Formats: sequence, C-alpha cells, structure tokens
Amino acid sequence: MIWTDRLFALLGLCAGVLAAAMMVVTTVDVGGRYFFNRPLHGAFEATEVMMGLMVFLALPLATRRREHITVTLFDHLLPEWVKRAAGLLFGVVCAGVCGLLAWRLGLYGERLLRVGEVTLELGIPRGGVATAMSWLLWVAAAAFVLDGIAALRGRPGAQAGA
Amino acid sequence: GRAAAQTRTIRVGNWLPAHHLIPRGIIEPWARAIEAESNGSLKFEIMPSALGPPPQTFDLLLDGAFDVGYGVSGHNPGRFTMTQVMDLPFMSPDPWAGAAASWLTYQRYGGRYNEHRGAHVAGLFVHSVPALHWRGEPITKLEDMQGRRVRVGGNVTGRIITALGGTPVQLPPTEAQQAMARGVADGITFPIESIAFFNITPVIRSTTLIPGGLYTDTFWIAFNERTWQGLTDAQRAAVNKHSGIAIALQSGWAWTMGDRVGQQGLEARNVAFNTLAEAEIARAKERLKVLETEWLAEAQKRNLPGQEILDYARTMARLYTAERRVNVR
Amino acid sequence: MEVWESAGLAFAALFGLMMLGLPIAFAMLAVGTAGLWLHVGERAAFGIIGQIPFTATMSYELSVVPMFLLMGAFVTRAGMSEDLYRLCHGFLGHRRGGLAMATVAACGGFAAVSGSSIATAATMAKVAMPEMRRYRYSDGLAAASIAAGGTLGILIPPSVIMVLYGIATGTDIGQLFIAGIAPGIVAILFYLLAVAFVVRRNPAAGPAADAVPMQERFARLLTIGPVLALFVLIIGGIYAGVFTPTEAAGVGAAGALLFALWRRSLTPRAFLSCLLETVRTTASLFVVLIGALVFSNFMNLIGLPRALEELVTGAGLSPLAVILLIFAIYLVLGCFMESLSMILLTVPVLFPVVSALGFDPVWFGIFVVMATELSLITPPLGLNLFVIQGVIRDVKLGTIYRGIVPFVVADIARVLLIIALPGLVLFLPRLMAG
Ligand code: NA
Ligand code: NA
Repeated sequence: MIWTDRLFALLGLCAGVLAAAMMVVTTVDVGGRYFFNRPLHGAFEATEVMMGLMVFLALPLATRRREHITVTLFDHLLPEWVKRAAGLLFGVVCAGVCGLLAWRLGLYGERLLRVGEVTLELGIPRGGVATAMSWLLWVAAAAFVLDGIAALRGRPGAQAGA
Repeated sequence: GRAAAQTRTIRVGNWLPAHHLIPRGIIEPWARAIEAESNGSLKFEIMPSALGPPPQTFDLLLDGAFDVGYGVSGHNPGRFTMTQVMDLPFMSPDPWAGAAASWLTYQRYGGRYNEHRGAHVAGLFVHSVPALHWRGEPITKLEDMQGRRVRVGGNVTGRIITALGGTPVQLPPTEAQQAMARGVADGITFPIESIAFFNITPVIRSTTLIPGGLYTDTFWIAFNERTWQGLTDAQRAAVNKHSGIAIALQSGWAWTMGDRVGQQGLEARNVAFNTLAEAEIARAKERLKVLETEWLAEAQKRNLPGQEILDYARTMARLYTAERRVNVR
Repeated sequence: MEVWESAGLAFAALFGLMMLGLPIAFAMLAVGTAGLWLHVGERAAFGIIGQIPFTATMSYELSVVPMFLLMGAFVTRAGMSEDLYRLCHGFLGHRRGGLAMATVAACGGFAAVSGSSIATAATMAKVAMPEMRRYRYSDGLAAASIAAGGTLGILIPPSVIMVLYGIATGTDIGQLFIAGIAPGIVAILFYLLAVAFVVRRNPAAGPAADAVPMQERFARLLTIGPVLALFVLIIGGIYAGVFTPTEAAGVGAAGALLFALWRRSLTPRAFLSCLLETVRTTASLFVVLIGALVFSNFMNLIGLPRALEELVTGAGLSPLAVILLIFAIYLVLGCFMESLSMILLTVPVLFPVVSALGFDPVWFGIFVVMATELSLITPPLGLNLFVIQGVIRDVKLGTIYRGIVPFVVADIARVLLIIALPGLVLFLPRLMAG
C-alpha cells in the first residue's frame, strides 16, 4: 500500500468516526428531549456539518475503491488497450471536474469567511467548512489521477464499475 | 417591433410555491407594477422552482444565477446582523410597522453596514407577529412553559423559548407539521399565516397571542449589482418608485391577509385563543433583554452607533404602527 | 420549441458520456456545468457549481442516507439478511423458481429495516446470488429478482425517497410510510407472479431446491424477531411522536448496532468495516446527488419545469389522463435519467398540478416512489441493475436487461392498479388517522 492509499484510508476512517458520531448525536438528542426535556445543544447543526465533512472525507477512498456508479455496458466488447486508455482518460476527466469543484468551492469558502457567516448555535464558521471541503476535493482529484494511472497499468478489476 | 427589442427580461429567483403570500402578495404585484411603470421595457420572470435551498439565495444572486432574489436575513447568521435589528424581541408590533421601520432604518444607516456588497437592495420587510400554538392547553404565565417542547426554526427563537422556560426543538419548517402532528413538539412559534400554510391547523387546540411581537425575520429583496448597473435611468426610476416603502406597504397587507386566512382556519376548528397578560410580557421582555445587549455589542464591534440605530428603528416602528385609536375622544 | 431542443441535446450528451463509461455523477456534472455555462454564462455557472457541493451535503434532512445505510450494514453484520433469506428459502425454495421467489420475499423483509433500494439490492445480492447459482438458476432470473426485489427498499418503509418527497412537498412522512405497506405487499405478490411466469416459460431458469422440513421452517420463523423489533421501533417511534422520520434513521442505526452487539457478531474490526462501507457508499451517492443537482439546475434555468407544466396542463386533459401522461413521462425519463435527478426535477413542478386536480398527496407520493422504483430497473440506465453487476462481476449487463423485462411489466401493472384503486394506498393511513 503506497502512502497515498494510507492517507485515503485515514480520511475515510475520520468519515466513519463522523458517521458513528452522527448516530450518537441523534440518539442522545432524541433521548434527552423525550425523557428529560433536555435536547442536545447544537445537535441540528452538528449533524449538518458532520454530513458535509463526512462525504468529502470519504470521497478519495470511495474513488480509489471505484465505488462511483458507472455504466459498463460495452466493456466486454472493447479490446484491453482501449479499456486501459479509457480508464486513464476518464480518471483525468473526473479529476478535472473534481478540481473545478474544488477551485470554485474554495472561492466560495473565502467569500463566506469574508462576510463572517457562521452556524447559529455553535458559531462554526461556514467558510471554514467550505474550505476544508475544497481541500478534500483536491485530494479526491488526486485519487482520480492515481486511479486513472492504475487503470492504464491494467490493475485487476479496474474495468468494473458500481 | 422596436419596443420589444429593447425589453429587458429580469429573472426572479424564487424558493416558495407560487401561491405563497410572498411571491403572490409581494413579489408579483411589485414586479407587475414596475413592468407597467416601465411601459414594458422591463419584464419580470418569476422562476417556478428553486435553484438551491433558501439560505443560498443571496449567494446565487451575487453570482448572477438570477437578477432579482428575496430571502430571510437570518438564514445567513453573522452576515446581515445589523440589517436584522427588527429581529430583536418586541421590535415589530405588526407587519406594516416592522417593514417600514426596517426599511427606513436601513435607508438611514444601511450604507455603513456594508452587508449587501454585490447587490442592490430594493426593499426590506418582516413577517407578522408570531404566536404560540399548542396541541393542548394554552399558557397564561411563563411558569406554564415548563416542560413544554416547542418547535423552533433556528437558534434565536430557540433561545427565546429557553428564556421563557420551555424546551426548544429545532426542526426545519418542512418537518414542523409532522413534529406537531405526532407530538414530537407540544407547541410551535409561528405567525398565524404559517399555521395554515404548513397545514398545522388540524392539530392546534389553543393559541396564545403575544402582543408586541415576540420576534420577527427581516426579509430582503435585491437586484444583482451588475443587473442593476445595466438598467437605464428610466428603468431604475420605475423600479425605485415601487420599491422601498412601497414594498413595506404591500408586505404589510400580504401578511395581514395571510394571517386572516390562518385565523379563519383556526376559528373554524374552535381553537381557544388567549392573550398573554401584560405583566407576563414585561417579565418576558426582561428575560430577553440579553439579545439586545448582544446585538449592541455586535454593533460596537463594527464601529456602528448601535443604540442610535435601535432607538431610531423603535421610533419608526411606533410611528408607523397600524393600530391607532382615532376619532375617539 | 427551444426548451425541448436544449433538453434533448443535454440528455443525449449525458447519456452518451454515461454509456462511454464516465461515472454517472461526473457525466451529469460535466454536461450540467457546460450547459449552465452556455446558458447563463461563466460567472453564474461557476457560482452555482461552487455552492452545490456545499449545500447538497450539509443537509440535516439527508442525514437519513448514511444513517439508513449504517442501519443496513449493522443488520447485515448481525446476520439478519441471511436469517430472512433462510426463512423465505424454507417456505418457498422447494418450488420451481422458489429461490427467486424467496429472494423477492427476503428483499421485502429486508426493506423493512432498510431505507434505500440500492443498499437492499446490494445486500441481498451477496446473500441470495450464491444460493441461486448453487441450484443452477439462470443468471438473468437470479440477477433480475434481486434487482427488482431491491426496489422494495424504498416502497416498504422506512424509505429515503419518501422522506425526500415528504420534505419537498410538505406531506406527512409518517403517513407516507404507512401508505407504502399495502402496495409493498402487492409488489411482492406481483414479483412472485413474474417469477412464476418466467419459470413456466423456461423451467430450466429456476429449478426447485431441496425441501426444508416443516419443523425447521417454523424454527427459522423465530430468527427474524430482531428484524420485526427494529421495524416496530422505527415506525412505532415515529407514530408515538418520540422522534421525527429524519431522527428515526439515526435511532434505527443505534438499534441495529445494539442487535449486532447482542448477537456478538460485531468485532471492533467488523464495526469499523460497517462504518467504512457506509461512508464510501454515502460519498458515491452524494456525488451523484451533486451531479443531479447541477444537471437539474441547468434544466431549471432553460425552463424545462414550466414547459413540463404546460405540457401536462395545456391540453385540458381529465385528471386520469393527466396521471397517465405523468406516468408515461416518468417511464421515458426513467429509462435515460438517474432517479434522483428525475425526482428533483419533476416533483416540485408536478406536485402543484396534481394537487390542484384533487389527487391525494400521500397517494401521489407512493406513485412517485413507484415511478422511481421503475427507473431503477428499466434499461438502459437502471441503478439497481448496475449495482447487481457491481456485486456479481461476471454477469453481463445484457443478460440482466433481458431478465428484468417481466419485472418491469409487473411494476407497470402495479402502478396501473394503484391508479385504478387509490384506496389500496390510502386505506391504511386513513385507518391509522382514525
Ligand atoms: Na424500506
Ligand atoms: Na432506468
């Protein structure tokens, strides 16, 4: 396992921790509210922020594991070299799209930081969250490039999708 | 012909269904009045569905996804803090007064806030006074709030409920109806209009009115700055004539008519109405003073004369209030 | 008309890129962004695509997606999907086509503790496919019964699509959940008929398995207690007002975790792999959502919603004709469009039209869910078909396409049935409302 894959796995692990945290937050909020009239402070916003971060933390890992839903209708008709070349091409295209999103989301984050928008209850700067997402999207773009290269080298199972 | 070639189409971002009082009662009449005023050189196209969730409206407007947008200032916490002076407890006694005061205050001080860079604000308005609606018995004193779960839309209303002694349940408006129907919440704070709009009427058994306006939201209507700069002087004059205080007037009517529909629905189901006593309201005001103090501190941070702004807004709200005893000695 | 031309071109481009093998999400992102650029210019297009990844993911309501997925992962880890399958195997397996029937029935059971069709199909594929291969079922029937059975995930409560529909239209999600139960049972029956039809035409497609003794069958009945308990926790909690449907997903996940712990089937490593599986699937689904939102924003800005509305209301049709027309639109869109973007684009437009004609919002919600189910299995673009192919990599998509046809017919028949008999959908929620 090269160090990049370790990084992706680590980020994915952070996402997993957020998923578990989200479950706990909801359960504690519901339980506290129903039994003790004491809902969890900031549960609503914490869920929102965790959702956003979770998705982008897990994205590089999902990319390297080829979990993006893909149509593979003509795969068996294509010669091996075409599949490999297409693998690289699509990796680069997806990386480009990720990069575009990362760039624009980064600018949006800057704007939100500039105008001082925060979440209501916990006061988390929304621009900071957007900036973090944008960095993670850059990592995902890198994952796509690596995946394209792996596909070009013809790694096992590289052609199948879903 | 020639006139048609010069027609400028203005796309209006919209996130509410067409029959809601804001698009139908405020945005549409405003847009049609300007169209008539401009002899058809401006044409407004109100979008049937949203491009993003409501809190995104201002940013979508800045990016030029549409030419005109409207939104709730409180949807972007920290961004329109000064504009939101009317959101403070007991600032807006009725929708006309609140809308007029919010606009007049903004006209006088808004240039120094610098909160709407990239947009040209055409008008501000507020919603009608909220009440406390219950699945069960009404409250007559603040102690009755103890142990009651009240659905709120955001943290400020959440703090208001906590200060009054209740337990806030923060849920998106779309889940409000279900939370009330199933008893996840015992009560809800909403203008009477919204009770009907969100179809909560069937589960309400009592409504506690709180004169003076427990809180409100300041709405904005604005042009994208580039769109605005691209209009001719005549077109801008047409817009200006029907904006500002005219929007405040129009919105006062729209919310009042919406409240009337809501009221009829509640009365048809024999909902018990009561009004919170003045002594209790005085106690509530005392407990909610902290929100004002915090707002003043925010103004201080921005080097703005907070107290002066607050006093001016309060004076305007008092002078523009709808209910006034006349023709009686 | 210009709108239809632009939309047609965009769909063609989208479809072409998908077929070439670009991941669906990125095909939608690429076409949507290019279209926005051409239509509203660089600044607005870039502004929109910069905001959507942020707002689409930071959503309180959509937390149901990872939470229902996590619940499904724990439930599967606790062996509940095997228990369900073994039970249905016991009662149905000895018939011709019985394992495919058992697959459908087990999918129905699993759907009661899963909110997502894709998750249901993926889970049951792992459990049911090896067994059907062991008994030499045809790949077409085996894969199709899982893909179709998987769609029950969103019809039988809990359901992510119902939550989304309820949020978009202000319809009571609790009532939608209850309304899904009876049509869900009808769906299982229709799918069983579809299996019976297939094996009648081609007995070799689904040979009978060995019979399980009666005593063993009833013993297996007891093992699905936890599934039932979890279902009651979720639906009961919503109905008793303990939590909202959104919160139900998180509480359900916690409940499933407790079951998995109680069964002692959850090592720390297994727990982690449940979490990782959940977040990876969540990430891939949300990228699809982001793509769908960009694409539907482009459709929105070229004016497709209004054109659709005019198409539906313009001809002055009767309510029945309008519903049939909407069904036809959904069928066609569903073949070529990803289900989420289809719903995002159409529901806000069609809901007011349909309500004005007097259709019940709960009924229309179930109708929309069924249209979504169909889109998941109609070739060429059906997500469940791809999911099956992703899990069982040596099945050709063409084989699955051929196998799915009888199930598509069963689905169409079911939609026509609820149009003819709306009471089928509405009697349970009305009964519960008292
Ligand atoms: Na389900
Ligand atoms: Na399809």
